[in-house]
Amino acid sequence: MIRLLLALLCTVGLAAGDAAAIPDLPKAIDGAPVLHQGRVKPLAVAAREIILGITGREGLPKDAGMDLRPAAVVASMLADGGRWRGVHLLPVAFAPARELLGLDDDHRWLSVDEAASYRPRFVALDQRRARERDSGVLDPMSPAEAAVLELGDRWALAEEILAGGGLHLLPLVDGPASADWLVASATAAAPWAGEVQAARGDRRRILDLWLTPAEVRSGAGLTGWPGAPRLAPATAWLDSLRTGQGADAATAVWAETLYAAAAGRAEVQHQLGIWDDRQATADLIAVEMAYYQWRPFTWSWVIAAGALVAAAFALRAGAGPAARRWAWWLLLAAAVAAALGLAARTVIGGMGAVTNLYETLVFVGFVCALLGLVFGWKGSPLYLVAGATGATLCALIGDAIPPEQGRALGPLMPVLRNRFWLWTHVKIIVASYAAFLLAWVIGNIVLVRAWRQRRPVAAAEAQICYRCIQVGLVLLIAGTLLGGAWAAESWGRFWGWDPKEVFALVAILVYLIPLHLRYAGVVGPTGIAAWSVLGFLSVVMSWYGVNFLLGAGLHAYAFGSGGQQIVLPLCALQVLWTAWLLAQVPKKTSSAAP
Amino acid sequence: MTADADRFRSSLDRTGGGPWWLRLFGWFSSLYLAASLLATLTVVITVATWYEKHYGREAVAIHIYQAPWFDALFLLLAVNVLGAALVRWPWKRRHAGFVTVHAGLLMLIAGFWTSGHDRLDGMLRTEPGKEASEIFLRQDEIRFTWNGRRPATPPVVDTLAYAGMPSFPRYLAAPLAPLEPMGIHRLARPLVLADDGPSGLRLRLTGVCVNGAPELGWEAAAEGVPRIRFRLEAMLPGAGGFQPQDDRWIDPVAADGFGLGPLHVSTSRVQDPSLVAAFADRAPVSASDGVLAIAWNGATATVPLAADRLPFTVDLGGRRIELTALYRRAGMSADGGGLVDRPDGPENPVLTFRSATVAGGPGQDGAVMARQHLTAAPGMPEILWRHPLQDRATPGQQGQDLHLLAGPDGVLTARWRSHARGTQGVERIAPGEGSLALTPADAPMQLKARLWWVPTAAPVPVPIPMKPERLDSATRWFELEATAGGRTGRAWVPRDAFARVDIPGGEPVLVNIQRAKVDLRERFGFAVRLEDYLQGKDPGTGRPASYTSRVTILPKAGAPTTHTIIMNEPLTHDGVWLFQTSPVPVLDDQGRPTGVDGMAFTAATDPGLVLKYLGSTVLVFGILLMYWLRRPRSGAASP
Repeated sequence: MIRLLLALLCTVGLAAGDAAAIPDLPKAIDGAPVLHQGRVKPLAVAAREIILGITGREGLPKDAGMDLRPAAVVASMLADGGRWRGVHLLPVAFAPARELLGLDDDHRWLSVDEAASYRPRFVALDQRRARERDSGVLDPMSPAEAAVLELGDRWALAEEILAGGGLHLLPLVDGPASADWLVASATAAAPWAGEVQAARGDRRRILDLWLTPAEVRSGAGLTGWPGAPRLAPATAWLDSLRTGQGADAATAVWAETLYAAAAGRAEVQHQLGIWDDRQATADLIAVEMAYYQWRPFTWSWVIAAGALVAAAFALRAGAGPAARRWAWWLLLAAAVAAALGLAARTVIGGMGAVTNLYETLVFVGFVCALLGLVFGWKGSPLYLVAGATGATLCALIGDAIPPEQGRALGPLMPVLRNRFWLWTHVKIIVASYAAFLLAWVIGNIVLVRAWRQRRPVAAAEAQICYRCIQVGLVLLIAGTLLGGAWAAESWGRFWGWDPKEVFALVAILVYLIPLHLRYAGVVGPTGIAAWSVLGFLSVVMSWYGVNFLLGAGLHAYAFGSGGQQIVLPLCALQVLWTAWLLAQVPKKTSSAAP
Repeated sequence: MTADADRFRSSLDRTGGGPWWLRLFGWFSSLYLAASLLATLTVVITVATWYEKHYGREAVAIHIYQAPWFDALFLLLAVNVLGAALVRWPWKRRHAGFVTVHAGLLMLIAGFWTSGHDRLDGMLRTEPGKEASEIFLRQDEIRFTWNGRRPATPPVVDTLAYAGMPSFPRYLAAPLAPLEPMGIHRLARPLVLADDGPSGLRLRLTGVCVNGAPELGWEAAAEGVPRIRFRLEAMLPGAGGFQPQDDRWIDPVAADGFGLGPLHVSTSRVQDPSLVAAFADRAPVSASDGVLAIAWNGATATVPLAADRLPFTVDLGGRRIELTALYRRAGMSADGGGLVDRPDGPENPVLTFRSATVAGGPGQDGAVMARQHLTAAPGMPEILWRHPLQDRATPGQQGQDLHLLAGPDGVLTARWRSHARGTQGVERIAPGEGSLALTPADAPMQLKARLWWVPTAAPVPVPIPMKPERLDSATRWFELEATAGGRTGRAWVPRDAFARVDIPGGEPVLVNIQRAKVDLRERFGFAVRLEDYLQGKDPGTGRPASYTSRVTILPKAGAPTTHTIIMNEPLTHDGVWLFQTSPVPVLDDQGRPTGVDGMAFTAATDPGLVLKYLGSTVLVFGILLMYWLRRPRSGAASP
């Protein structure tokens, strides 16, 4: 027992010793610009994505035995990778994966060195994945194998970062002189020589070459490079990350160096006729830092939740105008917060901020708030309740979904890099989801109200649902047709029955049916309310299901996985609940429409 | 009953008292039909999406979206939309939105109708600096030559329509009766590709496999040749189970052995049942040069053999066989009836013999290698030689040997031996599947052979499970049946290869199946030359960010012009749109990558595009108009 305790103390002491050896670097380094995933971004943002890629979470796991923020961790990894090889960073949470690797149940985290011993397995699984991707021959992996492959990917990323790679510091083309030098040095024994040769003197093809921290340190192949004076500030910054000494000043100098290099690169781009508005500047970095620091979407749902409470009070019989005013102004504040977040993401990413599930979620939340504000200005407080519910729910889900589903601003596939179509087709379609979401909330509320008051849904209540469906339909139809125009411009056909297109059409048809049946007197107010609720399932399928459940079609950029265990049971529950409510709500004797 | 519904019913009443065709028109214009059509369409396209997930884009297009019944659904919708507007005649101001919406819908449907299913939509593959004008389509073109004649227009087949994908009703019934996995599909009604009458050639497509492996496999048939499918599985220390290592078809007559790591596999076939018994004998092979089992005229002799005892004479059933010499020469190999030196071949001891009748008739020379008889002359004895070295690549006593002997009774005898551990086994395998544990249970690496023995086999494609969207990466096979002069021959022919269909006793049909093409120069009067392309990348990554191509349009008449095509910014020329896609590897004549990348463009025409754009605009405008017109009465108005 004493021996066990001693061993435990030694382990704790080692972990504490490791942590003590790694300096907690000043906050100033968080805003240091680095190139990561094709975009210059603050080190804090890149680090968060890197740590997420390695550990599967946004910070270090407890097993790592230290508490450092991501920027400090990645800075330390870049400066002195050897320190991190024995730290437990890589998760093996899935029991069958542990079994496959011969690990016992207590072994839920691996260090980079431990994971390296499984390299042959990682390589074999990676080859299987590559074979399936390249040949198209199905070779499904077991869940355990898939988990081991995921571990392999995390390990590979960790190895890359610890070896001084994974992100970049300086563009090789940092001005016309560097471009000339690079073209002339095509035969140099430099890491990029192959790519320079392949470019055959075309300067446009060498603009994407940047130096990693390891390349900056080694200086291999950089003899005579006109940008060589920039190496000293970069090296000094890396050195300051190792010791923590003078990191503030070194970061400031480094940032100026990178912005100057980026300006030089932009000059070459202009000479070549390439217009690029994504040039790294201090302002862009500041916007991104502010965005991550202030978390506008979190504020948005918190405020919207307040608006929801106020709006709920406003719904009560005999409520005064104050609750309604509070609800409206709070909802406005939530909308403003969401608008600021969307604006920041648009500025940072350069596109329309509707490029993945996360961004569509927060955009729908924003539009819900807007619709609630517009219709709730003089209309029923139900609009305010629905708008606030939508704004709260969407931003809250956005905060709750795994970060890899798009909270980070990732690069887009080439066909999507078109602001016009993102701002028209995608935003209009996604805005329609907001209108249908409002109809869904209101439908649920009025059905429950009718059930509690033992009466059919009132015509005026159904009219509110109907209004939301109308708005949603015109947006969805317009957005879908604009999508046809985009498809005609980029894929060569207006309509190709792609699953995403099909389910947009399904949603249109689903909402058109009750509108037609309403005129025939088949569907009354209660039916309209129920259809508002159940019709939203078609939107869920179009929005989430096509990309996360079906995973087929040309809209492959939005594919993902996960959430089925939550979304599908909720959908089933909604159907059962609505069916039960319909059975309980008294039938309307008259078929008069509202 | 709502006021809307009243008004709606009254609109139907206009046709209610009229002649039958007017009443029928009223029914076709009804709101009930509209709602039913919308519901039907919803169900159909929802199911179609799952169909696409399982069978791919092209299959769903053929079986659903381009099927006549789906067109009929839209035609009915168009009639309904038109009728719904017409029955409200004379239109009033409040109808403006409704009529505009329906006019927009009709324009959209007309746009799709104008585009039709035959609009050009294919892939133009270009190479830097070279002219290109061939647009590759979904269909396949079957080119063939017989007796020096070829059709002026080769038949074009929409192969996926015959590939065995389920029809829509069959797919709907899948929960009740599970669907077969995709594989070889034989046409219930073969497709006639050519029929020159009784004196000429009749060529029919009888089977299709769109997800085939590059090489043919075999299936049991009434007539055919013997084949063994051999699959080696190994379990390494610490691994959870057996993993497949090799999977191949073996011809037991022609194969002269092959090595798979520690295992060497050899095969042979004998006609005399007594030789099978001698082969299966568990007695260890002599440590010298092995054992000969010789059969002749119903009698069998088993002779231990040693080089120092040669020459050696066996009298057998009225025949004397004199064994004369044993050669041990690395690289000696059998080639038909003779011996050849093969520098890279395995060591192959060879025994020569002279066979003559006991009465002293003329003798015949022959030779036998390990289970290969090199003289096929009639009247020679059948000899089976079990040699300790067999025909292993290395003479060291390591690893495993597996010998497969096809006997005259359709039974396969497998005999295996571990040289390192001295263990061995024998098993007889009836036609069908068998499994052999080749290694002792305590061996560090376990080897298992799975065998499918087919005494009479015919070649067939081997289906492989493919991702539906990558079906085109598999080898597409066509079973063709050629009949001429009352005789019929069949063969499986792959796409993109030169092949033949043999007709017994007749001239073969030479076949070359390729993806169907449209030539831009012939149909539209121009070709395209790729000058250069640029693949922009995200800085610091190899990930593509943009594609830009510079192409020159080469018209039949007129000066060439150079243009830039960018993603989302296509080029239009003479009604043909060229859309930027992504780089593709340039292949040589054998289909192998040359290391050079070209650029692929989608080439499309769409004569209905203007109508689609117009219809879209009118539709959206109509909806807004409808909302606006109904606004004052808060939805109380009827359309």
